[in-house]
Order: sequence, then C-alpha cells, then structure tokens
Amino acid sequence: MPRYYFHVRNGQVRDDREGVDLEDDQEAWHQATLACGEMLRDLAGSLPADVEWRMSGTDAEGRTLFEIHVQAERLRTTARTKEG
Amino acid sequence: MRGSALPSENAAGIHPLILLLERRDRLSPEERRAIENLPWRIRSFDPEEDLVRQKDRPTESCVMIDGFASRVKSSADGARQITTFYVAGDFVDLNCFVLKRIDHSVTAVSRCRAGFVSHEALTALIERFPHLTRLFWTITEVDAAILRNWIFQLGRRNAVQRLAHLFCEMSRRLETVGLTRGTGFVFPVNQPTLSDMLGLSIVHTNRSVQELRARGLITWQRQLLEIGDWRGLAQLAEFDPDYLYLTPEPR
Repeated sequence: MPRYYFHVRNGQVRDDREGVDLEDDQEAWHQATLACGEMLRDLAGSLPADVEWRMSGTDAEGRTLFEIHVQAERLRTTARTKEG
Repeated sequence: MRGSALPSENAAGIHPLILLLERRDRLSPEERRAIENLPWRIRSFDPEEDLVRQKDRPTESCVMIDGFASRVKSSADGARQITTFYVAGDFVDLNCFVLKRIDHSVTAVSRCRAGFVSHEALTALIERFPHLTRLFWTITEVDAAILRNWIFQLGRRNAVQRLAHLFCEMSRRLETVGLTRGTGFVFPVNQPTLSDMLGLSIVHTNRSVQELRARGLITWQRQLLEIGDWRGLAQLAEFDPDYLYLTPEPR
C-alpha cells in the first residue's frame, strides 16, 4: 500500500514525519476528511479567528494531492459587559 | 501453589483470574483451589477469530489467559467501534452466565488463549462459595466502571488525551495480572485496530501516537510499548486509577 503524509498548519507547522499506509488516493482523501473533523473538534471550541487552519496531503514523493482549508474570520467583535 | 492445569504467561504461573480477583479481596486457599480445579477448557484463537459469537446462547463463559480480545460493534457502512478491550484475567462473558445470550461478538485482537468453563460448574462453585459470588459481582461492576470511564474519554477528551488514557489503563490492568515488563508491556495492536478503539480516523490516531512520542512520553517499537514518563503521561490523561478498584478489601 502506498504511503501518504498529512501535514497540518495552524499558525504553526506540524509536519507529518511518519505517514500512513493507505489503499489509494481516494482512501487518503476519505481519511483526511475524517481527520479534519476530528482535529477541529479537538480544538474544543478554541478555534482562533484570523488564523488559517490547513491540512495538506502528499504522497511518498512529496507531491501535494489535496488541501483542506478552514478560514475563520470574526466580522464583528462585541466587547462583553461585566454582567454578560 | 502451582497445581493449576492452566498455562499462564505471568512469571508466577498463577491463574490470571486469581490474580485479578486477589487485587480486589483475599481468597482463601480453598477458594483458590476451587478456581484452579474448575474444568477449564483452553482454546487458542488467531487474530480476527471470534471467541463468542453474537446471538449465541453460550453454556459456558471464558477467561482470557493471554493476548488481547475485544467487543466490536460495526455499522452497515463498515465503521467499527471497539467498546471493550480484554486482557489476561478478564472474565470475558461472565455476564452471559446470567443474561443467557450475548448481544455482540467477542473477537481476538492478537493471538490469544481463553479458558472456558461451563455455567454448570460456575453454579456449583458460587453455591459452595458465596464470597466468590460477591467477587464475581465486583469484577462485573469494575467492567461497568471501565466502560463509564471510556464513554467519558470518547465523548469529552481529545485524541491525545484519549490515547494517553488508554495506555495508562492498559499498563495498570496488565500490571494487575503480572504482564508488565518494567515500564512497558507487549501491545500487539495495529493502528487500524487502535483507531477503532479510540473512535478516530487512522490519520488522527497516527498523529496522536507521533505526538506522544515527540513529547517523550512513550516509545512503541515492535509491539513493545514503553512508557518513558509515567507522570507526564498520567498528567496529560488526567489518569486516576480509582475506577479500577485495585485495593483489596473484604467484599
């Protein structure tokens, strides 16, 4: 089975050094979409605004096969009052 | 005190069920002998083989002697969740003794052996030793406590915390039956199976293992899982072994 690498950038770079052996590109994409959901959940409600969250999938030769971006922007920020 | 007809991986050659029970309460010599002399039937299983099949009406229950097994639930599209993980000493389907049927299969994760004993023999045993009835009740309750804890892990903990917790729990449960080696233990589990335990994709499971490694908390090579920094791992997992009830007391 070919090896795929899943790199995550989220303000800082977290490169995948080991990779995972998966059946084919389709399975790599499927796994990436699952993993993205899980990783966003792991942020536990603290997704920072104005920082791009990105996963890129590469093959063993380092060719990028896909990218998944999550762009978080806050368009209005209301200051909280003490009582709120 | 060897006497047992049961082969066992732990150094002392003691039946793992006895080790498991004695961590909860002292057994009398008669009780120990009665457990050892049950008509155990040892069977070996290859990975993926079923120890007990869903919808069976078993007339016997089994105790893990060595290796690992699990209860797995699968969805129509093939997604799997391991709900329970069994190690040596665990009385896998003691619940069938009273429930009379089993609602999902128990499958070998690695090569393993289990000792089967008839419900008839178990009935005779607990009628002779009411104390053992209470102890069997105790370990069934411990299984429920482990499950409650795992629901919390699956529901509210992130991947790295969940994985750290799993390794802490495995270490303590294997230590109970004498199967740790120093700070490590044999963990013959591949990453797809690990991801089915954690309820995570293979990719996120793999990244989480890498993260524990990078933080210097574990190493994992050739099925040997070594905990390099127990305090660090337990702290990350917020691991508190209370729910395993490992203190012997009169029950």
